[in-house]
Amino acid sequence: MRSPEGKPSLCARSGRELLLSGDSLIGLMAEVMAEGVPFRFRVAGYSMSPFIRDGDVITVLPKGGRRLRRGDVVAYVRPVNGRPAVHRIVGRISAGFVLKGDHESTADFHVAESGILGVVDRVERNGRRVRLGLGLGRRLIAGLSAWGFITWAFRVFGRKRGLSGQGPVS
Amino acid sequence: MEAKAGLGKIYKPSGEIVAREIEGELIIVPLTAGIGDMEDELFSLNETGRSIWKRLDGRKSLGEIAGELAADYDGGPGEIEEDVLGLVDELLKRRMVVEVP
Repeated sequence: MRSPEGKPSLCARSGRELLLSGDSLIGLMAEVMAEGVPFRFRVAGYSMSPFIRDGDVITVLPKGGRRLRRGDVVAYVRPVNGRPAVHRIVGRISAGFVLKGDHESTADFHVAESGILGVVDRVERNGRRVRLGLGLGRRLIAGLSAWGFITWAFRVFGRKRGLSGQGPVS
Repeated sequence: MEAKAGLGKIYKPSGEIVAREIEGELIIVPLTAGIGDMEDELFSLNETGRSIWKRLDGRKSLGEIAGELAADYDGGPGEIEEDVLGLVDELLKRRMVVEVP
């Protein structure tokens, strides 16, 4: 086949080098999880600090028939801008869920269950599993997050540790 | 023994991958380890590869696909058939397509 692109070829790519737009990430995540398998990818941003940090690798499980609970960390489509986000369920209302980044000062209200893509099951940082934030204490964290305590604590204690330059990224 | 592609055979994408057009590229995510892993190796097809891929629909034989491609690309029938077989062999090796009985 003569073409400027040359012969047909299959090229191996590193997932890390792919710069996915929000729409592409949502589409790919939804398509993979529709096959009933988890989706693993690297996150960007600080909105879930200190439990999920910029550059951590997370594994999202398909929602399936799972009952979502307060404290669960979920991947979802933000109603405000249609972009993907990974935040914590801090409340339930008749229209759906209230979701909030642990490091953010405001929450996303009225997130319908259909907008939730999956549940974060695993967080890895520098090749090691991070358990804090997803285990038994997640409901307590949801409460603290809803009251803004985590943002406050991070500002106060983070400043002492030289972390105050890290702001939330939405 | 590894299966070889044949011009009389029909193929379709396997259930062990997700293929999606992303930012103008066809990206293939293997699900063979039971996970769609963006930190692992993914695959992409160049433009000529995409022309073949989109015709692997479980209905047309590779010979018919090569015949269709002859209208769009320069090259003798033998050359096009060889290219189609070469790519499908590679896809079979990586379990990205399956033969339709």
